[in-house]
Amino acid sequence: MPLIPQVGRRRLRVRLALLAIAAFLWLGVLLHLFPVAWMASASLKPTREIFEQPFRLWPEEPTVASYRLLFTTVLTSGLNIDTTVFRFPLWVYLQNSVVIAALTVLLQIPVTAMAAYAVSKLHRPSRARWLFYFFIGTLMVPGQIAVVPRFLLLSHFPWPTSAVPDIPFTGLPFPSVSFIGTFWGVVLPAAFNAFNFLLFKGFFDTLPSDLIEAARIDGATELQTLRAVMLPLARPVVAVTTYFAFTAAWNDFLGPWIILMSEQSRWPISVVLYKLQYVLQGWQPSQGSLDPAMQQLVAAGVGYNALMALAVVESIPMFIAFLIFREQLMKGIQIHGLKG
Amino acid sequence: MASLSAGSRYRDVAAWAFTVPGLLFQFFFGWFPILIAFVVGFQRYYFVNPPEFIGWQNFLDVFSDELTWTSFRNTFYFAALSIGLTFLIPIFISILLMEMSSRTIRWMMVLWFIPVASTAGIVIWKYMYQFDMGLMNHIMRLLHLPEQRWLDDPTLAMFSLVLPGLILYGPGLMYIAALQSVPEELYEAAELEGAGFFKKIQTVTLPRLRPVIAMMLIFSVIGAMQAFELPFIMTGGGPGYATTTVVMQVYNMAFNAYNLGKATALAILLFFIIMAMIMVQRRVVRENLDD
Repeated sequence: MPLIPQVGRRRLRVRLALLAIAAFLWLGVLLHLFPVAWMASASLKPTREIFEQPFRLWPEEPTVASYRLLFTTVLTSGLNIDTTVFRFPLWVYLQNSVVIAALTVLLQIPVTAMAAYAVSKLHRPSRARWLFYFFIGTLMVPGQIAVVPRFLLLSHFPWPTSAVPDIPFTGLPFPSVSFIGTFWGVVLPAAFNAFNFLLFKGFFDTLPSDLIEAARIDGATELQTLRAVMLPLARPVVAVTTYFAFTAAWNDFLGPWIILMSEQSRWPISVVLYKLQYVLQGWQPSQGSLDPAMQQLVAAGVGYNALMALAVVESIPMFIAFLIFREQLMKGIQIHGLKG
Repeated sequence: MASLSAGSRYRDVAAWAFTVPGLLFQFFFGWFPILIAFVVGFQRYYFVNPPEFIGWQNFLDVFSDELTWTSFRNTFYFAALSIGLTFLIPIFISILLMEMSSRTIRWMMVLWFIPVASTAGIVIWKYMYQFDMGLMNHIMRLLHLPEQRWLDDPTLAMFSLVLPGLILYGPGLMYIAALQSVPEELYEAAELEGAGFFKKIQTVTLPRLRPVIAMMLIFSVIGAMQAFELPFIMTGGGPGYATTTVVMQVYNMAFNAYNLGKATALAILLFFIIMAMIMVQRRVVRENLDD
């Protein structure tokens, strides 16, 4: 709209230019949708069609066999734990992902929103400024430096070292707790999110302080003010941040991979998908494989179609979340600068 | 007066009550691990044994490790490729998108932002790159071009990691948000002065986008220099060490070789290199703002 003026839009040259832009954009949309469609189509192919050349865009005999296989295959024999996926039924992994994502959202949104509200409206300006930088500073710092230390910290929280000091004069070590192999080890580090803090604060900044004053005069406590006055107004931001928190938790791979590696019963689906493609990657149809876990999987009929089916299963909840929060997301997110 | 100060004290208590949970989480899982890194980096630390300080030894080990330099070369190459080839795309797509009618914009955005889980997205491409069952070689055959080994070809592997970002072009939410906040009057004023399509981009759109672009560039540099998931799942760092990034090397040292001290020393090195890059970048952007 802004670059090409409304009045000249009927001229042929302008119309052709607009048409070319539209075609280019629609092509981008199609290219973006193509891998999604390819994934869905491959997941519905019977194993025979996966190898067929030339490829069909849509399976000749669509089947849900791959999905059935995923939900029924459980490999229990004592194979190498490292390469064996599906020692538990798929719904266990799905449930793990749901629990991790739900806990993350339920913890992160209130914690982050309250902090942002306090910094935006309650603290006096000089203090709010320092708190603001404390809260968002980690965004501007390369965070991978913290991966190993965070693992150590989660191993004997709140001590960052295996040499937990003794309580003076007692010879007993200070209490510590290990979050390794538990959902909390994945959820707690996500309990506060600097980016969502920025979104919340940017929004609370736009609300007039008179609203708070009015609520206070009516005798509302600060918590009531936040709950009854601010949060209803903040619904669009709550929607966007919830969507971001959910997708980040659902997509997270490195966190669960490191923290939950030894606990296959708690793996989320992202880790299972990685493991399955890892097992399948050396697999050529012509040559048999020596890896017993792989043989067992292939014998059960698990192939690239099943891999794509698993990718579909992993993506469906994100798609549902997208449909739920679409309106708010499309309204666009407003970030009001990185400066206090 | 007394009641007023009591009120403000109450307000203070409430302010802190709201702040403390976030403060604790941000301290323990945001800042504290970064501080710990600067301790662990100077320790001999394997998982079971208690750590002991060994001065700069970890850093000497890192410097004398040939894989350190390989991984840094790969990381710079990856960052240059991915930022060089794909950073500008969403900016211009977003600008072009604004020319469509609002109905079209809505439709395109809904379709464009349909999400695929990130590991799923990577695995799809791995399947596409598969030598004899993959779609990419099928397309190459249709175009009568030679089949490629893609992820298994040392010279092509890194490019293959970046290629999906190049093919799947699209707008960016942040840019769209910024573009929608540009007042119409600015464009009308530019028009009255006789500015055309490109002149308006140059004089109105880009200056308005500049803060967002600067911010996104910093995030992109931080992100690309710390690439892990994409190469880890796509190639596992191979073939050989052709796509082993620094963060992957940190991961390997920590969780395969169990040498936490050396892994952290390498992470510290990467940390300072990225910080230096951000500093230079901010300087350049600020200088540009002055003219």
